[in-house]
Amino acid sequence: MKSANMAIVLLAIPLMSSHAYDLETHWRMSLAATNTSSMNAILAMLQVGTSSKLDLGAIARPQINDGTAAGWIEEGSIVEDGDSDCDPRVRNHFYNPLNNAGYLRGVIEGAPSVDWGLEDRGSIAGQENSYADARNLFWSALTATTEADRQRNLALMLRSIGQVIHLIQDAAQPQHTRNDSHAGLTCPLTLGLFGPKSLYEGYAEALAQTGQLPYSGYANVSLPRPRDYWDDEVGRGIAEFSNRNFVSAGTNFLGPPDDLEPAPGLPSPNGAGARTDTVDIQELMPGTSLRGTMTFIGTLYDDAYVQQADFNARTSTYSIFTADLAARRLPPRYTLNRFNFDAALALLIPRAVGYSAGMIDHFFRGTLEIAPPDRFSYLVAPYQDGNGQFTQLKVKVRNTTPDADTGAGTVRAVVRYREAHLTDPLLYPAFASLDSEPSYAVSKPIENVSIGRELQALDFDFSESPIPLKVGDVSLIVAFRGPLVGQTFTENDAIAFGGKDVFEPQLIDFGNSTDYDCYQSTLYDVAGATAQSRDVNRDGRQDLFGPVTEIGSYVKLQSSQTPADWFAPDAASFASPGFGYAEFARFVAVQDQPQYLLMTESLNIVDDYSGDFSQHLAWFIIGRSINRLVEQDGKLVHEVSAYSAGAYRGTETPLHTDLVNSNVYANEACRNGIASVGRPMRETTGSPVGND
Amino acid sequence: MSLEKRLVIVALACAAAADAMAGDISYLRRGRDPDTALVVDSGRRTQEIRKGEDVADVGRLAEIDDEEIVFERALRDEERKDLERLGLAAPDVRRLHLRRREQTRAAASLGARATVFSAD
Repeated sequence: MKSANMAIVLLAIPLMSSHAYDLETHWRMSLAATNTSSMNAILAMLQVGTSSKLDLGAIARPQINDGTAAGWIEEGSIVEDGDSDCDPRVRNHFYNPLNNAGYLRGVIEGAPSVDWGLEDRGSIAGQENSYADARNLFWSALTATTEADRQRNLALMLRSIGQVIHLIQDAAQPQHTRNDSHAGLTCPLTLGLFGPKSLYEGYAEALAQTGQLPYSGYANVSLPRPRDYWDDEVGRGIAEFSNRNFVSAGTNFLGPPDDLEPAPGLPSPNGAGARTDTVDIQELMPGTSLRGTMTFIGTLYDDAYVQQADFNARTSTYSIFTADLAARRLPPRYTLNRFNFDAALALLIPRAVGYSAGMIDHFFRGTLEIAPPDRFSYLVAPYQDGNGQFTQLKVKVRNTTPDADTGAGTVRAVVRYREAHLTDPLLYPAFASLDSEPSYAVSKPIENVSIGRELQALDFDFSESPIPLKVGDVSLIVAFRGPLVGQTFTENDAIAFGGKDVFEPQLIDFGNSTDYDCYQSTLYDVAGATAQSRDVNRDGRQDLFGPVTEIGSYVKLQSSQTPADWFAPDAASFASPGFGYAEFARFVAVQDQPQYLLMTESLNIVDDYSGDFSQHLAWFIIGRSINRLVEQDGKLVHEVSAYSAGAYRGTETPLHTDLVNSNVYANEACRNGIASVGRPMRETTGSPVGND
Repeated sequence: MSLEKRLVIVALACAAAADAMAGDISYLRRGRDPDTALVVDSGRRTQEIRKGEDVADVGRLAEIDDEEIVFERALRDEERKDLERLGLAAPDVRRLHLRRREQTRAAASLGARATVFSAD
């Protein structure tokens, strides 16, 4: 018996790494957690591709971090241990859920890892990558005004999340939750982290390096508060699980085999329900030349999160001295070996991944839905003399966070776009190339607003950060910061956000071309025409009509699914005070539908010649304009629509609707000819309705 | 002739057709099978092109649906370098969305003193 147990211990030693719960282990757990988290959906909302690179210049661990979002989380999960094996920050990686204490040995003390990781009860010196820091970085990223700032903040936020989940992973290691020193003897004594190097961590690292650690099998955890992932005081935290169900090298069982006692101050596992199982070494290690048996101590374990209990047959092992010590009526010794580690890792590693993924999901829990405003267009701006800018965004927003309502907080909107070059994107978007980096316009904050479950209208003021009209690749983000409170999620300083990809700004011209009429395929200028000149064939009947003056002319954009109908002027998207002949107005709008309805309406039309009164309503189906960059299968794709301008009476425009005389419309030659008549159109003013 | 009869709205041909033009072709409708599309070429000839077929200066027909067809063209290295020199995004691929050419619909009247025309 004695020689056999000794052999097992010796076999375990070559598997030890010189590192702690280490690079490969944390890296792989974090990678698995990222892959099973909501990260990809969040990145899509942020308009960040899964292979997009962030802040490449700041990467500290290029062998781990390729600059992607996942890479930054993985780097964070590595750098939390510091730059050397014995970086002082690791003293803050312990948490005993029984007394809520951190590491303590003599006069050396560390902050509880949950406090260090979250900083939810106050900031801690030297900690710049906590959950609270990540929240601030996220808000800074969402409201950044430059791509460099956005990338820097996003990268740091992701790295910080990686550092937080490192601590959760550590809390799935019993030595970290049972105040069991395991830094090894190579660390300077001043560090205070004594104790032998952790065989458990070394063994785990060896398995990680050979692809043998089990990462899957435990669903993403969802708990109400970040702190709960460590310790929710009812046993569902990972620290509570590892503390209560496992022993560690320095906190193994005490007492005789038939009356096991727990380590001091650690009431569980305590031998209740324990069983021993003696196994032939030939069975444990087929093919070995060793002879003998090993006796494992098995104990019950319970998982309060999934509310299941089971039996771990290899919680601990009789040491090689147990039999001799028992024979001499001396306190026995218990030990841990690779078979105990295998049993523990099978339970702890999938949970470490599930809790880490859950923490990532928790961080990004808050979501908003963005929908078009009542007026249909998000952005509307006058365009005159080739100039204009958007200064107000109208949206509808609702809180879509699962099971959590917002309290009063701050809301801001961000418009992301790329400047366009080479051609005017309002006229020739298909040929307009885009800046390599996006630009950002950030609204003034709206304070003390809560966002309910029903869509509510919000107007964002961009007057201090106007959005140019000649841009492409436009998308919107609305972000809320404040309380999110519910039974399954509570955070006083949460962030909820939503993204919306919209189509590009479209130039729309509308005006009055009733100064020409058509008779027998010939266009006649009727401005100031006399009764005699209107009777072209001299038969005593009027052949030519117009022009007319419109007193108030309106354009309304709406869904193509909504039937066209007369509309109140205050429901218009854009209004002109009116047009005399050869006058027009221009505006630019942003909307999110592949096609939509454009309606023009004039309620007070007076014939300049006869004084007759009329009204009109007309509508057209309009297609969207596309000019955006997307990432597809690792390639950068420039999506454009075939949409370009034509000449019309001295103007250049991709879309011009005009009031014309019916004879002009009815005759193909006149219809085509009116675009090039001698009198040019004169540009007049107009304005978005609703003080946009 | 009353005033109502003489007033209509018209969307100019140059503008309305612009969305349907890509180089020298426009999209009419789906072809005889799901992988073909009917287009009008520069010579005003109607022809059927098949998914995967290359159209000069436009690209390879990549997608067909009722509303639009999409052409893809990989940018040449020199094109990408030119864009990079200008500080512009240098895409690997350009995808051109060509909407179906719309037909003008007949006029209809609304209201006693209004003339209404719609086109899509």
